[in-house]
Amino acid sequence: MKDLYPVLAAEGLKLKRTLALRLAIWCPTVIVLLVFGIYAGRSEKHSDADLLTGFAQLTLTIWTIILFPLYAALVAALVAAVEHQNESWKHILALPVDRSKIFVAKWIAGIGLLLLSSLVLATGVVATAEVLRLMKPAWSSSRLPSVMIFRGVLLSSCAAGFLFSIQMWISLRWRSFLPGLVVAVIALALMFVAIPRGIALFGSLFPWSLPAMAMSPHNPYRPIAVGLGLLGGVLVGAIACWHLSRHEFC
Amino acid sequence: MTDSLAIESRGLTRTFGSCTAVRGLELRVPRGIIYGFLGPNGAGKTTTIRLLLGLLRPTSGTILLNGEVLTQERRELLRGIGALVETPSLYPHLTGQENLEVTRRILKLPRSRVADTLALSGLTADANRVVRAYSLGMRQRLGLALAWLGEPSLMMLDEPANGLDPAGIRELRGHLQKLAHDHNVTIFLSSHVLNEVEQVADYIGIINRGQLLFQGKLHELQRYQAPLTVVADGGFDAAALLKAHGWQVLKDSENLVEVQISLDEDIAAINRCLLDNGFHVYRLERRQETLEDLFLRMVMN
Repeated sequence: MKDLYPVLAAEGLKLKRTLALRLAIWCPTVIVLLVFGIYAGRSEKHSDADLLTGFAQLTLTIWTIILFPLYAALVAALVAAVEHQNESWKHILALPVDRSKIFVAKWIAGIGLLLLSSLVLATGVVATAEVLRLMKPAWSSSRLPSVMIFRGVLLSSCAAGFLFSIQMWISLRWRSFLPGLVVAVIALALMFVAIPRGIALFGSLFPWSLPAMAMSPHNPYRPIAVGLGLLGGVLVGAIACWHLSRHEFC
Repeated sequence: MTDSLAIESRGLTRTFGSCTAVRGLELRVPRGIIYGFLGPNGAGKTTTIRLLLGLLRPTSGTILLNGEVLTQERRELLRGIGALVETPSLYPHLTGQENLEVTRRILKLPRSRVADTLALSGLTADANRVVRAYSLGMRQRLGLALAWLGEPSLMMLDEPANGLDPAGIRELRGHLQKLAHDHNVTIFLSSHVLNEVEQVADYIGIINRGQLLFQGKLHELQRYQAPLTVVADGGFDAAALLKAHGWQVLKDSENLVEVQISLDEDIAAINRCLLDNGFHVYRLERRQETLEDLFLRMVMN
């Protein structure tokens, strides 16, 4: 860990002024504002105790099911592109550092961005819900499950580990954005086919559906999704680091 | 012998499919010198540098850096090496200072190294500008600064003069000489321009189609170089005189003699000899050799 820290510190600096870092803030913010806009336009008369819970659930559902898998693929591609685009591998890999540390640091940087975006989302949901309460006094008694929101996004991020490791492996291995994007789109299409048809087991094992599975507290597969996301993420990440350390990038 | 060498390769070979990029390379680079690694484009220079940096694995053969065998597991050997391979590897969204800071953090160097290196590269004033806004020459200088950041004992520079204007090339030349002679840094410098390398290198290695054609001190290369053309009256008599003094006359005519020489000092000696014997010398000329001419001559030899 001591040896990893300098590489990680360098990785953090590389993210400065990057699109990857901006998107980590803007992507969840846009989703929150979109759903906020929908709710802000609603009449104050439609009021019940779970209205703000519904607001939070809608935001989290859009994020975890539709956007998060694509966003994770994008983060992986952008983190890898920092080296690919500038042909920096020939400099970084010629430094007297264990190569696996360089890739582990990249993984951690990517996961850090995913966690940051999840944190922005959860904070955004809670903050905009409070704004809605101020705007519409009739909704002030509506409950907002803040703890559930933060726990949900955290577990969802953990469950995204598996898909992120796969995307990261592909993005680091190939210079082009295309392989990673193709995999993400095909995986999403499979997910949308499998889950509505009730293939629950498939859904709970499929890396791209794990974040959605982990979001809902009522989902019986939640512990499996979180566990598999973490375990799969570490396992695939370790194999990928081993492979990439031996790969000739130049 | 091995201990006195900064770089040594034994039977270094690398193939890509059916193409052999480097074949049985036997490099011997003594410490503290500037080694000019010459070859036309596609000769295998960059592949060799990538092999020496551990970026590529050899198909066969061994690499020794400062007397120690380089393997993927012995990456600490790279600590004393700075490199610039082709274009500088820079992050355009970061400033010049931040670019150096990235490598400084990885190498765990003191913070002061960044400012020192920027000052040495003449980039202090532009240190806080993003590299995207840098000119080609400034990027090249920053790439060299990156190679020098860890104060290596060996620098491998692949075509470092690319993108530099004549003033920049001259500055680079002075900088390299200063590093080699004042700081005892070994510089392995690849180029496809003979003239550029001749002015700084102590040793020369010439590679073509993955094979080393020549390796030795710069003056040893002179024997492969173009002959001296002497324009003087009484060309036949002048040729006879020079032959009598031991020079090898290749061609003579009424007012022109071509003499094979090995040292620049020979030019002055020939001139003096002719003048002392009453000849009028109108011109002494040695054609600027291109790498292609040199290769032809080497192959013919």
